[in-house]
Parts: sequence; structure tokens; C-alpha cells
Amino acid sequence: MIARIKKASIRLAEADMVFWLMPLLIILLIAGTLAQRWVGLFEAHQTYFASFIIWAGPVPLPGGYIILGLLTLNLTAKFLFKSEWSAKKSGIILAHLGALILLIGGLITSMLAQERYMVLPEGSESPYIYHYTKRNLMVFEDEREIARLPYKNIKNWNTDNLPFDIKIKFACDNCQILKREDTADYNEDDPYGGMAQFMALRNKKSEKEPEANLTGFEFTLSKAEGADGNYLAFDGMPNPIEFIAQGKSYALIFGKDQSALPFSVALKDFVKDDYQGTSMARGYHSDVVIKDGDVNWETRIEMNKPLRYKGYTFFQSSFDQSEAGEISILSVVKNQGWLFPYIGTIILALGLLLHIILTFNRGRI
Amino acid sequence: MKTNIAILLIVATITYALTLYLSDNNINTNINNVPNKSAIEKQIKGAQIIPDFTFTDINGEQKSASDFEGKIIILNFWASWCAPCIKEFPNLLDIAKTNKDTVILIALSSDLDEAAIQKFITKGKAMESFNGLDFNATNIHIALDKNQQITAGKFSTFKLPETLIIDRNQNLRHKLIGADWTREDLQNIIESL
Amino acid sequence: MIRLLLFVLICCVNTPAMAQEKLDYAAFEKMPILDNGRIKPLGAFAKARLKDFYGSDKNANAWLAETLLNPSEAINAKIFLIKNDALKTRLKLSKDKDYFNLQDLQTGLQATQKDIIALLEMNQDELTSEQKALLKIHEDVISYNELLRSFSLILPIIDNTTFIDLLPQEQRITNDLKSIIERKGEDISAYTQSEQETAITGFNLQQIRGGGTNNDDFKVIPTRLNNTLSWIAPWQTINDGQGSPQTNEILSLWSNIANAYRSNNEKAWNKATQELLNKTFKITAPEISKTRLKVELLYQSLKPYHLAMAFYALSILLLILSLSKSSKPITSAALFSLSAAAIFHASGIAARIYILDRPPVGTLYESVLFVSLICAIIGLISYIKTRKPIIPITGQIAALGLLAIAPTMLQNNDSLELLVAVLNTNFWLATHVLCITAGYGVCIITACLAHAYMILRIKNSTHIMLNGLFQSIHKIGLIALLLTAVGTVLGGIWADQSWGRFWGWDPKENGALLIVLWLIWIQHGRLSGNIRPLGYVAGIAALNIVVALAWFGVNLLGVGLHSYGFTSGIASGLATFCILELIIILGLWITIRIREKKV
Repeated sequence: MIARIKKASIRLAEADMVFWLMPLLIILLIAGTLAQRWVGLFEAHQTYFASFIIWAGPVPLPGGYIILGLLTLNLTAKFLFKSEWSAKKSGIILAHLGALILLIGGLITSMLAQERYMVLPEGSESPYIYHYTKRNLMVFEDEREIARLPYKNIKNWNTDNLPFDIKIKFACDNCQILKREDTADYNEDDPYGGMAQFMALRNKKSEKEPEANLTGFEFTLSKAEGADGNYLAFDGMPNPIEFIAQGKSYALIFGKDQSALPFSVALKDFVKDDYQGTSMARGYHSDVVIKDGDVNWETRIEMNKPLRYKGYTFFQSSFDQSEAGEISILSVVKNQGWLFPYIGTIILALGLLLHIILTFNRGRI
Repeated sequence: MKTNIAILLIVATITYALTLYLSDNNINTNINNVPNKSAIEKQIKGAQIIPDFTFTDINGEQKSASDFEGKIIILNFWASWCAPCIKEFPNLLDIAKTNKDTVILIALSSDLDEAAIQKFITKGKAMESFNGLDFNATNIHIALDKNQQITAGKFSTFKLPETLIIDRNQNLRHKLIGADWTREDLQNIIESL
Repeated sequence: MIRLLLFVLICCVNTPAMAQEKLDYAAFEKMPILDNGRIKPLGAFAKARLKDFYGSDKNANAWLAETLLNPSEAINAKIFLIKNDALKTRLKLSKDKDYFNLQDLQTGLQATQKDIIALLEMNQDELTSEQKALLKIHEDVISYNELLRSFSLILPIIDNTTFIDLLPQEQRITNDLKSIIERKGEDISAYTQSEQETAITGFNLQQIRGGGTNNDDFKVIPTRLNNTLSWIAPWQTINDGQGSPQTNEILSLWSNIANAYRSNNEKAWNKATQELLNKTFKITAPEISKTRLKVELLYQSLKPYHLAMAFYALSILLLILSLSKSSKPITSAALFSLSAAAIFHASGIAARIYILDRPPVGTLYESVLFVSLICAIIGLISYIKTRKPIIPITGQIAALGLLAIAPTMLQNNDSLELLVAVLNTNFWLATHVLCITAGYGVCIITACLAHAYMILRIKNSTHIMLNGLFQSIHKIGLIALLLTAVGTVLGGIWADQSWGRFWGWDPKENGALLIVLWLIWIQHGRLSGNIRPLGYVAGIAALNIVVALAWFGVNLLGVGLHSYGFTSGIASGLATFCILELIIILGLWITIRIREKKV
């Protein structure tokens, strides 16, 4: 058995594996890149690179995970079983090791990395970070969060263990908001409550960037004291839906998945630095304070100069300027595998350089 | 083969260990401190020295700008027919009062004649917003700038009001265009000089 | 437009002399001006603007001086270039002329005014060339008008009175004029002598003030307040409250310049322009570097890349000559020519680094310049070491070709562009871009060598040079792999430092990776025996296509974080190149196979 595995591993380590696999990766790369023009980065990424199988109609094709996985196996096998160290080969072996570390780093990142963002109006403070695409409905009982229903699963929402009932009428990944009076939905026996009285949601084609979508749904609320009716909820709705059921007060808020950092960040000042005489940004930065227990650390986050604290890295991502004030948008990344690409790069570069020096010294290939 | 397995494991372990090490020492290794907004004014480069000018204030005193070297001068261009000028006037008088020893207020009017100025002062003394404020303090000089010779001719001020803040060395340091400023703003400027 | 005609009438009261080309513009062209977010010398500004309107930048200084200081004469100059026949018809212009002045364009522009509003709301990519030309001529005329009126506040109206002189009395004159009109109506012949004077003056003031509204483009007046240096247009001293004793001084110096110009007084002109220049430098001393301005002027006038191209062409000829007749004078001449070309090219890039104060590969245009230089330098070094002409010939051909297409990467006539915020100088970014563009250069040279190999092999399949050439291709190919691989991962490191993600499968990242994967593929194919030596060489030759797609193709997709270098109209060029190359390489490969099978 072990002998079989050994034989298979040595076969996997052959150079011709690269000859057969590489064209697949190249085609995948080209297809995945072209696709981005039509379906946007996120979806192209999900379909081509972060997938096992790509369906071309009824035909299954290997996706990014499979092709890269096979290449990683090939590289691992090559490094472990067919890399006898010798002066002549040291450069190449080192280069292979570097590439392997890079791939491993990529694997760790895809499994462990978390990317969120933070919206901070000037002068405010918040510990909350938001997911770029996941949305959910948060249920608060007496101002305490008791349930979180993910939008992805909206068809199967179960409110049995809640004292009120929610029945979904209609959901849209990307909605347009119409005036209720312009639609033909009104029915006297089936009243609308809250904003649903003035606004209606209709489906709209998804944006290329899913974070730009306005996700929402319309639902019927029942068993709430006196507040039964049809409501709607959508991304960034200004007010929660509030009502009383069985003597307790409830609030429903829908929006991007929210979690809290173990500390909070306060924005003191956001500055957009323009090229003189133009409105083109030369750079922008946020002067923030990290408030963590007794730590009150004042620091600056700017383009290409992130803030690293307790395993989280804060990047100046974008901003919004309006009459209401300035808002700084930071992206927050936590990635335990971040160092692997750096180490891999160094080893790869050294390996290739060494190989070139050896080749040139040798004269002939 | 065994060597290479070992190499791979060692590299992976070292990388992981480094990751942990680096994330703990964040506060010290990544000092992204806010650059020092030096409150101390450094040597003024290429500052412009104001041209000297002479005026006769409404009390008949003839003065020159150079007489006030060593004091901070608030040079205000106004007119009685300019509504924002009237709005900001109390603030000017107030600042002059608060900083009696360090600040001189010179208010040059682009009115047609002194009579218009006098009319304004009489009305002002009766107004609520001018309560407790003294038009006649020693550090306040209100004067007529006939034909805008100083306002436009020397200082290129063509729209009113404008308030220029000049430091003790007769350098023009700040310019407040219009009346959109608060007492605090002006007080801060004076204190920074 | 009616206003403009009257402007003409009014300013013609003072009749100045014709365009002064004989004046010495040395001081004038050095004057710093803030344009498009950057301080540049007036000479460069003039060249760029004139090229925009006129298509050529000859005598730009004289043109600008005339426009600013003698507007009533300047409007007669036929400086607007229109080539589009359909547009000429629409504007009712003569078809056999290409250059027009404001008067020619007047009626046509007025008639098409409403069309402009509609055009501006459309998707700019979908406009026809006539519509684009129409938009352009409108924009050009507006821009030109602003220049014409930039100094109207200090230029003499009647006798030697200027707008500023009259300004303190503007209110009174306007009121007087109003009451005159109330009393006697608008017929000027009914007015008394003094009433007529008031009317004319009042009207002048109105016109000139109108022309000064929102006229803030020509930011040539430096003003320093509280340590902050800012640049304003002359009219902003009146309109935006930016006047101060300092601007007063500067404007009076400009008055002197204007007077000297209009009276064609060479001595006065030299004195006045020098005085203003000195005063400007005194005010702006710490921030503005005189040397930088001089370098930019030199850069614009010397045209280092044209010189480099000429010497590249010469080198190629000499090297080809040396193939058949190798002799000391020819090799020396070739060496000299190669070096001269490289020196001009490199100094051009060095000048850019100095002027823009950043590493030399921020825009697509700059990357082409840089890659071209890499190819040339590889050729030069190879020739110095081995005196063998093949590598330098391919290097210089690549260099020449790239320099030739470089100007098509520019969006407007100012090649010294600003960068968006995220590209602002950063160590990792600089190393990444330099490394990967160097990689492109080496890939291109290797690919060209591969072409040379295949051509040589067709001529004589056992040529003695073939083996050595193969060795060179392989070795340089390794360097290409090193640079592109390291360049790609450095890009990942920059991305990790800038937005926390090492690899995002972004088009530009994918493009760079494509080159690396291609190289790895053919290398391993050769090692495993699946690709034979000839196939290997053909694969290397195809690097040209891969690099072209990775470098330019990804910009056409217009998506992702890397789409900063827009390239409208490049698509067809790129497609043509790729298809041609494909045909050539396949053709060469097939020919060799057929020939060698026959043997």
C-alpha cells in the first residue's frame, strides 16, 4: 500500500504534470479574467477561482481549487520526493520551495482570512465591522439581540421559537424602491405598516459589485400586538421595525452582517488632500484613536500605510464627503496567513537568482 | 526526501511563529503616530510685509500702520451699507476689548463720507448686539478710506468685508474673507501669533 | 458671442502693433504657473495649449504673450485646427481650409450651443468623431476665451485707464447709467457728451466684468499667506477676495510687461519679464525650484525621445551593415550610435523623474518608455561585451518600435501627468512596477531573439550561430522568468500592504501571472520532452503576444483595481499586432518543420 502511494507520489512529481496542468490554469485564468468584464470581479472570482467545478452547460470542468490543488500536489511531491540537493540544482529546488510556500500561503488565506469594513463619520466612535456581502435580519428583544436570520437562507426562515411570525412575501437581491401608491398592491384588509405604506420594493438587475446591491424583502408580520401587517426591510433602512409581542418590545433591523471588534475606533479627523487647484485626490488619511480599555492610542491611517493592531489591519479604503460631514471608510482585514507570501517571495527570488548565476557560470544549459 | 520534509515543516513553523510574534508587538513596531502639528510657528518664509499707510480716524487722530509695530493689527475693511460688515462688527470690537494690550483694531470704511460712519455708530450704540462694546477704546481706530485708496489701492480688497490679521512684525498673516467667522476663530488666530 | 464682438470694438480704441515674435522669451517662459495640479513653466503651458488648439506648438511663447497681453489682435489669429469635414459643414466653414479664428467660428458655435448640452449627457465612448470634434472645438474656444480675458483687469481700456482703476467707482457709474437709461432710454445718440462717456465706460465695465466671471484657470499669480503658498488667476484677486498687497505688486509688474509688449519695446520687455520672474521666485522660494522649471523647458524643446529614435534607427542600419562587412569603423560607429541613443533615452526618463519627483513608471506611457529603454540597454550591454550584432539589433528594433507607439498612450498633450491617490509613491509599488516592466523588456527581447533564431534557421538550418543563439534565448529567458515572477509577487506584496489582499485575481495581476505561467509551461514542457527545442523557441517567440495582452489588453477590460491607464483606440492596434505575430510565428514554425522534414 505504502509502496503504491510512493509510486503515485513519484509519478505526481514529474515535470510533465506541469506540462499538462499549466494550460488548464492558463485557460482558466483567461476565461476568469474576461468574465470579470461582464459579471464583475466578485462573481467571476466565485465561479472560476474559488470553485471546484465550473459548469459549461451540462459539462463539468475543473475549477480553480482543483487545478491549483493538483499543481500544489505536484509541487509538493516534486519537492519532497524528487529534489536531491546538489550544487547544480540548489537554485531550482529553492525556487520550487518558494513557490510551494506561496501556494500554501494562498490556501491558508482562502480558508482563514476575513475581510470586513468599517464606516466612521467624523467625530464618531464604533467597534462594529461589516461584511461586504452577507446580509441578515437582526431581532432585538428589549434591546438585546436574540436572533440573526441570514438573507442567504431567507426561503427557510423559521420563526417558530419567536413570539411573533414572519412570512416572506417577496425578496430581491437588488431592489428598486417605488412609491407604494404607484403599485397596485393595496388591499384594505391587508394593511401596510411602517415604511411599507409609502415604499414598495421591486426586483432589479444585480450590480457587478454585490456590496453595491440594495437587498431587501417584503414580509407579513403576525401575532404582534396591534402591529400586524405588511412591512418591508432593506439594506441600510433608516429606522428599525418596532413592535410589542407578549409584553416584550421587539425591533427588527436588516443590513450587512455586523460583528464587533474587541475594541473601538474613533475618527477624529478625515482629510482629503487634493492636487493643488484640482479636485483630484492626491491622498487621503484618517486620524483615529484606538480605544481599548485604558489604551487610547492616537494614530493615522492613510493610503498605503495601514494600521495594525491585535491581529487586525485597518486600511484607508474610501470615503464620502457630503454636507452632513465627512465619512471615512476603512477596510479591516484579519489574516493569519499573511506572512507566508512574504517568506515565499524571498525564497522564490533567491532560488531563481541562484539558478541564473549557476546557469551563467556553467556556460551551457 | 526526509530532509525536504523537514525543511518544509521548519519553514512553515518559523513563518507561523513569526506571525504570532509580529502581531503581539503591534503597538511598538508600527508606530503610525500623527505627524507633529507643530504649534510653534516656524520662521515665516516669504511672508509679505504690509505697505505702510496713513489715515485719520473719526476722532481726528492721524496715524500710520507703522506706528503700531510691536502690536497685532486687525485691519478690517467695511462699509455702513454692507450688511455682513455690520454683522461682524461686534465681534471685532469684542476681540479688541478682550485683547486690549496686544491688539489694535483699524476699521477702514469705504463709505462716501464720515457722516455715514457717524450715523452707523450712533445707530450701533443703540443696538442690542453692540451692548457693552466701546467704539472709543484707545486701541480702536475707525477711519474713512476715501475712494478706497487703501482698501483697493494698496490692499487689493474689492469685496467687503475682509479682515486682515497682521503680526507684530507687520507681516500679513491671515485673511478672513467675508463675515463667516466666529469670535473663537479670531481669538485662536491672535493667540497663535 | 455678441459680447465678444463688442469686446473687439472696445479694445480697438487702443490699436496696438502686430504679433511680436522677435522678443526674447527666456524669462517669460520660465514663469511658474499652476496647471492641472502641477507647477510648470509658462513655456510648457503655452506649448501644451497651443498644441491642443492648433496641432503644433511652434512659437507657443509668442502666441501666449499675444493672447494674454494683446487680446484685441490675438483674436484674429487662425489657431483653431478642424479637420473633420462633417463638422466644417455643420459649422458652415470653408472645406478647403483647416485653420480658423474666433470670428469664423462664431456663428457655427452659437448655432450648436444647445447640441453641446445634449452631447455632454451621452456616454462619451459612444460619440462619433464629428461629435467629439464638436465638443472639442467648443471646449477649446471656451478655454481660449478665458486666456484672452485673463488680464483684462489690468489692460488699458481707454487711454491708460484699466478696469482696476475704475473699480472703486463702478457702483457709482452703474447707478448713474441706470438713471440715464431711465430718463432717456437706450438710444445713445440722445445723450449728452458726458452722459455718453458714462454710458460707454459703464458698458465697458460690464463687459469686462462679465469676461472675468469664473475666470480662474490661468493660475499664474503666487500668493503667500501664513506660510501657505497658493496660486490664483488674476481675476480671483477681485472675484474671490484673494487680493493682497503682494498680488497688487505682481499685477503691476504684469502691467509693465503688457505695456512693454504692446509698444514692442525690447528693452522694457526684457527688464519687466526678468523683474517679475525674480519677484516670483522670491515669494515662492522654498517650494518652487528654478532648476526644475528649466529642466522641464529643456525636456520639452530637446525632445530626447525623437533623438533616441533617430539614433536607434541609425544603430540598426549600422549593425545590419556590420553583419555583412565587419570592420572597426563600422563597429565603433555602431557602438557610438547605440550609446548615444541610450543616453538620450535615459536622460529623457531621468528628466521625468526629476520633474515629477517620482519613480518613472506611474502611467502607461511611462511604462512604454521604460520597457523600451530596458530593451535598448540589454542590446547595448550585449554589444559591448560580445560585439555580436544579433542581440543589439533585436533590442534596438524593439526599443524603436515601443518608442514609436508610446505617444498613442497619452490622453492629452501633457505627457507629465498626475497619479491617482493609490498609486502615490510607495516603496513596494515602485519596486513592483520597476521589476515587472523590466521583466516585460527582457521578455520582449527574448521573444525578438526567438524570431531571429527562426528566421536564421529557415535560411540555413545548420548555421553556426544557431546554437549560441539558442543558449542566449534560454539564459535571457531565465532572467525574464526571474523578473516577471518576482515582479508579480512584489505586486502581491504591495496589494497586501495597501488593501490587505495579496492576490485578488484582478485582471492586471492575472495578466502578469499569465506571462509567468507561460514561461513555466514551456520550460517544463522542454524538460519533460513534451515540447521539442523548436517548439520551445516558438513558445518564447509568442511571449510578445502574451506580454502585449498582459500589458495593454487588461486595460481594455476596464475593470478591477488596476484599470488606471485608459486606452481608447488601442484595441484595434493590439488585435492587429497579436494576429500578425501569431501568423508570423506559426508561419515560421511550419516553414521550418516542412523544410527540415524534406531533408
